[in-house]
Amino acid sequence: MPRYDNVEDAAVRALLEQATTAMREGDPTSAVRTCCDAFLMLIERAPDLLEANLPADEKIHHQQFPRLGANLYGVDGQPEIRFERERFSLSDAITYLDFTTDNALRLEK
Amino acid sequence: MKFGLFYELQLPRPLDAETWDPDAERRLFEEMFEQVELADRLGYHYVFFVEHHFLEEYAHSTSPEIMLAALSRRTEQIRLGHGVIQMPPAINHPARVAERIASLDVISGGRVEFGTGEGTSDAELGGFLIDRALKKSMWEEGTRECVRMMSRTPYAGYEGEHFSMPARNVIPKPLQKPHPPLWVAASRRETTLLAARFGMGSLGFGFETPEETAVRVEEYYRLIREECFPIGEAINPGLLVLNQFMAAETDEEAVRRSADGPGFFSYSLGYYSTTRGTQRSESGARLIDEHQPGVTNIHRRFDALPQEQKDGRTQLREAKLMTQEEIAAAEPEHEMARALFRAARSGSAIGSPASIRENIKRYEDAHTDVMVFNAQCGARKHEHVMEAIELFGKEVLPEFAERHETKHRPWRERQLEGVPYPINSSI
Repeated sequence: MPRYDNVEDAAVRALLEQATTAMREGDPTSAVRTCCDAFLMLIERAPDLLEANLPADEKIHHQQFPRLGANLYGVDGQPEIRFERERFSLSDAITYLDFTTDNALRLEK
Repeated sequence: MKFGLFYELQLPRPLDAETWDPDAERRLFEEMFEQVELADRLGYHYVFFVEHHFLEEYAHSTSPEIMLAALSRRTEQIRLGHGVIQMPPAINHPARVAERIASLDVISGGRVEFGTGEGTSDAELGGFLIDRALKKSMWEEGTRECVRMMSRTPYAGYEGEHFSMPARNVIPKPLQKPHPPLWVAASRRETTLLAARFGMGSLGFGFETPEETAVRVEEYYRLIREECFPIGEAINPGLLVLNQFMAAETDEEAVRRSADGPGFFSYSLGYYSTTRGTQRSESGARLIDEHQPGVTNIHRRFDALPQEQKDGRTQLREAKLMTQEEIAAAEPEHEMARALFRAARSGSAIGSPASIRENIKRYEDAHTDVMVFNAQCGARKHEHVMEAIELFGKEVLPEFAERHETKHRPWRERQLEGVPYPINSSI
């Protein structure tokens, strides 16, 4: 059973499933973009996630939303993900997928 | 559980001089050769060397392929591991890595373990002008193509994001088919999951506890079975953990001989780290920002710490080991700071053979495949490292090696039932 199956929020789970399918079909760039959509949905559910994931010197890089070219910013208090690369690799996609899945599961605990 | 040695090749600057004496690096390398030759004779299964660059005092293992090539002619059975080769093409071109790995595999009789990684510190990545945001995809591209170069005749060529090359036949080919076992550095849980998804062994350099290891083992093997996208032509399922190590006849003597080794290891690792946990001055400034290449004496800075602070890092309490409960209570909350704390501690593989046996049994119970020891670190004495390798190798290792065959191997086979990919693993 894939990890996203444990996410109770149906909309978030559907996006994570879609991202996984894109990875399996060899399209990691779509997978990254779909994970970003899912993470923005999580911020809607839990607005504190935005502040916790904005870059700052005192935060631990890998405990924040990955900065591998799909980078999270706060613009006037609103989340915005900017795509600063055109292509993403499978390892990038896996990183975004696992991070988003972990956060979805953590929020539901 | 199988065992090995792990080398950063640490070389603290002398406290009473500005730099090393001209013979210091030769002596360091020769002592390492003696240690690995002894481990080979005693039946240790692996030796792994890091590849780090510019991290003075912390890691003088900058050319692991040279050390491993020398060891291939001085040892008989020990597996020769890269732990790891930094795979961004700007550091190591994939074709050159394929040539070196295959050549080493041929001259060693097929004993190579191919560990891969991205590089971590800004000191290293910046030295090669690598954008941190791209290092993961550089690792993936470099590793995938390197493996194809080793296993395909001819290599069809590649046009990628980070490197391109035309069709060529990359030679020699490795003795192990389709290629040596593949590993990836995985200091954190997330990278262990990544390793599983790519069908690679996980080189756990984060000093995980047995409890954390148990959770990772379960997740790791499930992903191998259900969500694997192999990066190579064969998968290498396996979890390795790194542990600080010093064995002596009594706990007290082991702690005394361990000296400040783990403390210096942790301090210098943190010094070069750029995430939380990096060493800071009293004013809060990062020490790395004041680093002067070729000049700064990190060992002296470490030595100048108040004794209680150094004791706190190495957790020496009147030359006694802390209990597991005391260690757990003292652990920092944040992952990087916690990893440094664990790297510093006189932990589960420092002590008498009886203490070590009892402590590391918990890792065996968690189904850990391999444990490697950080024996050479800080200013430890070579003769103490030799005696520790011998003591453990004679008094503890054999029973674990036997249970590896009788209990662990069948357990592994059950975990891998139904996995559709070819497996090339020395575990």
